[in-house]
Amino acid sequence: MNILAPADHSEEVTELIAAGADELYGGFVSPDWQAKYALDALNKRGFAEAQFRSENDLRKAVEIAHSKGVPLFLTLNTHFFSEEQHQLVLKEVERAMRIGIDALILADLGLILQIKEAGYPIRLKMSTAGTVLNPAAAKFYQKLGVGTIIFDRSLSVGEITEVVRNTEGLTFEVFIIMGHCPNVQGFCTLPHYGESKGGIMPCDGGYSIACSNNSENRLSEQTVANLKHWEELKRPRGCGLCAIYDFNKLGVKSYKIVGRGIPTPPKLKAVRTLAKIKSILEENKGITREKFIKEARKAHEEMHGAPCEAKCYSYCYHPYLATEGKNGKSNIPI
Amino acid sequence: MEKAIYLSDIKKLSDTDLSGYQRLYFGAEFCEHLIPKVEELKQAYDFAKQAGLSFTLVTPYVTARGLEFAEPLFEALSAFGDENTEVVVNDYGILSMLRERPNSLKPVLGRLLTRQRRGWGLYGSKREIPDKLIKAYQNTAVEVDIVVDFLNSMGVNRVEIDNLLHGVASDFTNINLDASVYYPYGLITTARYCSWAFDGKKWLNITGSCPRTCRGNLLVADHDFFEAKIYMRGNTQFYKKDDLDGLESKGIDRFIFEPEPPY
Repeated sequence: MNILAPADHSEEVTELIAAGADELYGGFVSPDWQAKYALDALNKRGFAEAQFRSENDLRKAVEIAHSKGVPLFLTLNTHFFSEEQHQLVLKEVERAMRIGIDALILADLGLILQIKEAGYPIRLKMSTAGTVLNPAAAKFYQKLGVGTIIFDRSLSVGEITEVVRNTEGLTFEVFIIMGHCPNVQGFCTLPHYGESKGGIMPCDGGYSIACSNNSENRLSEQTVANLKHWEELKRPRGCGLCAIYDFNKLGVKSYKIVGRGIPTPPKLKAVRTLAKIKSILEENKGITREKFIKEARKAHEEMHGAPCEAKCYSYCYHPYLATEGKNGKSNIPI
Repeated sequence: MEKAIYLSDIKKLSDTDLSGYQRLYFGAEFCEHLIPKVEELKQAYDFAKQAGLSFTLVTPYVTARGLEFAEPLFEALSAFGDENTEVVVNDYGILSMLRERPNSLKPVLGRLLTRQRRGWGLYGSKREIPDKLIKAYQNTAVEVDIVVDFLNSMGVNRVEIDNLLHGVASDFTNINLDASVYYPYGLITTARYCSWAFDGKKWLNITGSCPRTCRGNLLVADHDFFEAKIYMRGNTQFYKKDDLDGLESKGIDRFIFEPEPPY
């Protein structure tokens, strides 16, 4: 089990690793790119806090991470690049290789094909923005040189199991702390323009919904409530700790903390939470699923200062774990 | 210019006037639980053929479960032996599956995989967006030589797009791909956390069989951030743009009319 943490500047790298991060990822937008396009046109984050401050800062971060045996991955995962942008983004790839970046997180088919054609010796990870939901899609990208699949947040443990068990030679990452998202990330085109630390995104609310004149509308009270539920979204509290037991048994390698652009203290808190979970698994080889889930919920409460409500959909990645027990009863003690 | 009509609800077939169209689009684009049954596919195919129309099956993004739902449809379509029949793919897993079939069906790359950044036009006059940002988001993922060659090698010779609120800069005139545009509804976003399939405890579409209660419902929403209206159909949100001016000169040779937002 590897703890994969976001890093935005070299000063926080040592602390993140000391707290338990096994792998790091981050973004960098060169001045050349920024002058011509925009911040989020390269790696899906439209604010400077989510980018390494300079090439030197990124290089320093890589050097510190490597000195402690920790790899650092670079995000170049905007949904696609145009023909014109490809020339510039390939320079970003070459820069990443010079600096010693260990893998690229990508989403664009064109960029993957360009890297394959150029024969660049760098590992490729398919971002959640690449939307791999089934084994056939995973194999499709594997043939093009992708070695790691990062799963969409909406995939259940069962759906992920189907992909893992029906492919060979791939490694897998799951989102596990923070950054809950209501939509399929790779197909969502809602702009997050001007989003900043703690800023409100359009998917968090702001909808005023009315029925159309369609006489067939038959909204149940439940549906009306559901349509409003993202307004209660607690994005920073996104959590899938309970599912780690199943993912670990399945052989999922990396557990990703969302949070590019947030300050160092909450990142450290998340890394320490995951480190605790990791040690529970390593020190109690025979731990039962039920006991583990109890521990995971305790860790959630310690991290957020509020108990996990188990069935709460506004932050829980896997709320069905609360209700999938025998006879439809919860197998998570509440 | 080929004109197509897109129906994703089997119940709407008999009420629809097909005159003036050369092709019927039928299927589900955004939810694997709404993939039609083989009987529904046959019914839609026969309806198209009786009216003298070509036929296109639309498929959504899918989990492993959805691949299983789709397979019998490809079997049935192959059996029709109609070379003009197409399958719109919105998942590279589905494209791979089609390529592995002995009687290869004609794949079309759907609008989810051409990956336009549609949302930027939603702001309208509510927010000024820098010109360089807007310009970066008026194309598609497929207007790149290496992608065109790859798609051609996969048997894909047609791609599909939306009519962006902030303008389409794509030009397929000199690209070795035919292009279609959907109108008047364009995609904003789609979700598997589907409000229609949540029973208060779990998302039935993710953890079990879906009750399909989205069927027949359409909601319209305003959003504090945006000028454009948002149309909510099932698990997906759309904008509306009626004006198709200038698209024909950009090498787009098929207009796909959506009488209502599809599923």
